[in-house]
Amino acid sequence: MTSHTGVSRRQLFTRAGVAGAAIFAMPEFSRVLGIRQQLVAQAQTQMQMRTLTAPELAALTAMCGRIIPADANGPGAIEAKAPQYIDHSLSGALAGARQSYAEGLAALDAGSQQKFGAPFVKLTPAQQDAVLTDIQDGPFFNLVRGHTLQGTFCDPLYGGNANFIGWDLIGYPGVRLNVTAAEQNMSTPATRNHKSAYDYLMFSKTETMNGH
Amino acid sequence: MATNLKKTDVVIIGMGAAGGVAALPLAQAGIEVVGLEAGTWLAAKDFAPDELRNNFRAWPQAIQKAQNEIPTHRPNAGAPSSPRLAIHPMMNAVGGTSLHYWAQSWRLSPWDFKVVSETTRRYGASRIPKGSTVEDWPFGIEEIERFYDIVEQEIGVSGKAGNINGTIDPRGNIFEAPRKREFPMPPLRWSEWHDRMASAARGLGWHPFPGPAAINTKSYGNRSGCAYHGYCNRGGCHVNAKGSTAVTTIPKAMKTGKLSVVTQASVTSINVDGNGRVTGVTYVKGREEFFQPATAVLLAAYTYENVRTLLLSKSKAFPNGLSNNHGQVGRHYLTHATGGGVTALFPMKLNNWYGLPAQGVAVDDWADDSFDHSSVDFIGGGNLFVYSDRRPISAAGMNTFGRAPAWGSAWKAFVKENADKWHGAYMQKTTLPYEDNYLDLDPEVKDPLGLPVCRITADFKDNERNAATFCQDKMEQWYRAAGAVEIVRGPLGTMGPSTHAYGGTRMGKSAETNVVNEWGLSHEVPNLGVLGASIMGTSGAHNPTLTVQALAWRTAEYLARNLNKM
Ligand SMILES: Cc1cc2nc3c(=O)[nH]c(=O)nc-3n(C[C@H](O)[C@H](O)[C@H](O)COP(=O)(O)OP(=O)(O)OC[C@H]3O[C@@H](n4cnc5c(N)ncnc54)[C@H](O)[C@@H]3O)c2cc1C
Repeated sequence: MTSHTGVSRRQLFTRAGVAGAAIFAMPEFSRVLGIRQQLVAQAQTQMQMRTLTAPELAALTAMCGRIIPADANGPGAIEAKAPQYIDHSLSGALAGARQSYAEGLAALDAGSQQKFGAPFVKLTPAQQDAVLTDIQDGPFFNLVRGHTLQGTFCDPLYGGNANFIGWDLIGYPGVRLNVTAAEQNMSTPATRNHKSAYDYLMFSKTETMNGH
Repeated sequence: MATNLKKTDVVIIGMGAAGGVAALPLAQAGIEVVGLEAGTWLAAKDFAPDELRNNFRAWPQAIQKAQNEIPTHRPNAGAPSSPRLAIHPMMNAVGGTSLHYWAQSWRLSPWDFKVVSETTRRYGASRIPKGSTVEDWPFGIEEIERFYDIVEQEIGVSGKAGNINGTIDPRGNIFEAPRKREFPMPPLRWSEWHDRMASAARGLGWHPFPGPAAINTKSYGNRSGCAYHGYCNRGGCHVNAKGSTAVTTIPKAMKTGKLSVVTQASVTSINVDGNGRVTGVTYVKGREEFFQPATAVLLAAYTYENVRTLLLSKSKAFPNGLSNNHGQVGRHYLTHATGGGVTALFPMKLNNWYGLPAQGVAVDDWADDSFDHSSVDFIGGGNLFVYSDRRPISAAGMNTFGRAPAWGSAWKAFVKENADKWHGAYMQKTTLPYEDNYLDLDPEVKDPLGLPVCRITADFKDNERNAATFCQDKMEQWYRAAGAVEIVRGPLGTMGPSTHAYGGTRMGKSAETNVVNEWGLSHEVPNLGVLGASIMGTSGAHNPTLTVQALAWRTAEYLARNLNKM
């Protein structure tokens, strides 16, 4: 996962000078967690704009914001950091789609110019929706839609689904390593725990190169 | 120049679901086995419950062999290639794809072994579809009952028997062939959702039962019971409840001291002498090439790689590829028709966020020859299966059933309300082999070693299409009976690279139409065997792996008895 968050969790612990079993000592553990949060925050700032140019990222962000808007039903893809997820994944597992983004975002601006005389980011939400409606059956829109879903609903490790915005929207109760019969029943569902897979320290993170 | 290694008794190429099982009876018989595996060992720490990683990206295995040799596909010899798949989810690791498969562990039904004779007897010979090259298996299901039983015990299969020595128990599958005893463990539990689907099926007069799974439901040997965490679908098991060969037969075989597993060893050819007998195999590990001599070789690298390895192993004795002097390698290829799904929207939340795809309700009333085919336009049928398996990205990617647009505020409101209210059934339908469905080497596309990848030339025919439509009708009926308010049907799709790929090295009595004999050994090369669904000539309506493993045990046991004659 190194390329997605800048630093892997294992490195974080190592940098914090804590190794192996020591992380289970509770007071030490919470201190380390604090350090970890700082490091993750740092890494996240560093990871802004990793692949796309500033205008490309701005256009993509506006597009994500219309695909899953913030509205009466709560925050959307921008708040979940889906654009950042896409941007840094385009240097990793989604690198094969970099060219499609360059061409697609350019075409988006061209279409916006033609229809409303301004680039996509400068349009009103209603105008943006009109431009997107024109391309909604095409491959670029569906590529971005798919990646916006990934960035909104993925494990927070990848920089998306920030603050569990995506999981809360659809009611996913969070990662549990052991699920009881009651928690699987329709009448007694599990409560939300806001846990990522990697909150369970037994798992290592391994980089995956190919994605879609 | 390849480094020559010390001779061993048996080399197994691929330590997956099939090769990993075959190693055990050989090692237990005191035979020296070298297991050559392209991948590495993986363990619980590698199995994070992470949907993006497991389901949307290529698995982060150290060796991306399956990924680097994804077969190409074209529907027929005159058609251009279809777009190449981005990901093929077969695993390269000790345990192979049994590490992250769904682990449904089915026995086939008796009809699957006798498609030609039983169809002819019951409905007349004209009911065998035109152009199909289907044959009866060289034996009936009775022959492999013992091997099904052994493997169920070794890998740990949970389920409920429906027929023990002829006594029918409606809590299990009443259509199954007689088994000698109950499953080693009771079935995976049912939730209220499962109960609801089961009673709907009963209301239709059908016979629902819990599907069998190579998943522990209580501690079994040194492994725990299932934790139902929801990431079993293309995920490895963090508590070793899944009976992959990496945690069952392989370590057990290694304990005998007779099996050594060589990891990151990628076999490039099987070598023969002037008399056409196998002398050993050549493999690449790192940048080095090795030659491992052996008395006999078992090829167990999954269908595409089994066929490719034979076709690439050319010699004076076998100018068109090993064991291919009858031109049968690559023929009789088929893949399970698992497309043509049905998706339903319910008015209530199903709480399907946890569980696993093997935790399900199965119906076999419309599978194989469970029903009278006199008035339908196909032979065979499908297993209908509903289960509890949902993860956030795919849940949000749900079909909107024409009730909402695909994006924007209205979409968001729709998924907020309905992400846990839909379900998609898994339906495996009979597929038959046909003259013009086959595998060969791609003339253009190569792997990183510069070797051609496998090329699939195949398409579904009327029998598969008609069976699929019939099963969609039945599934829709079932969902509606359980209260579904909307239904959509998916297309059957193409026959591109599959996780249920059969044929290519078919097993049968005649060398004219089959590559291996009734023991899984080559008709042309006495000391070469092939393991995997590539030897199966029919698919039936159930997943292949338990049958693959039963056959692998049987071949290995036969080889152990006859090795001294080789
Ligand atoms: C997501 C998923 C879910 C599935 N669910 C089910 C299910 O529920 N039930 C079921 O019955 N089946 C299921 N299957 C299918 C099942 O996984 C296969 O039938 C089974 O694994 C095939 O066994 P195999 O030994 O032939 O291949 P594999 O298990 O894939 O093993 C082949 C091994 O050979 C190695 N190898 C390949 N080439 C070489 C070479 N040249 N040299 C050395 N080693 C090599 C590979 O690395 C691999 O380890 C599923 C498959 C997938 C992908």
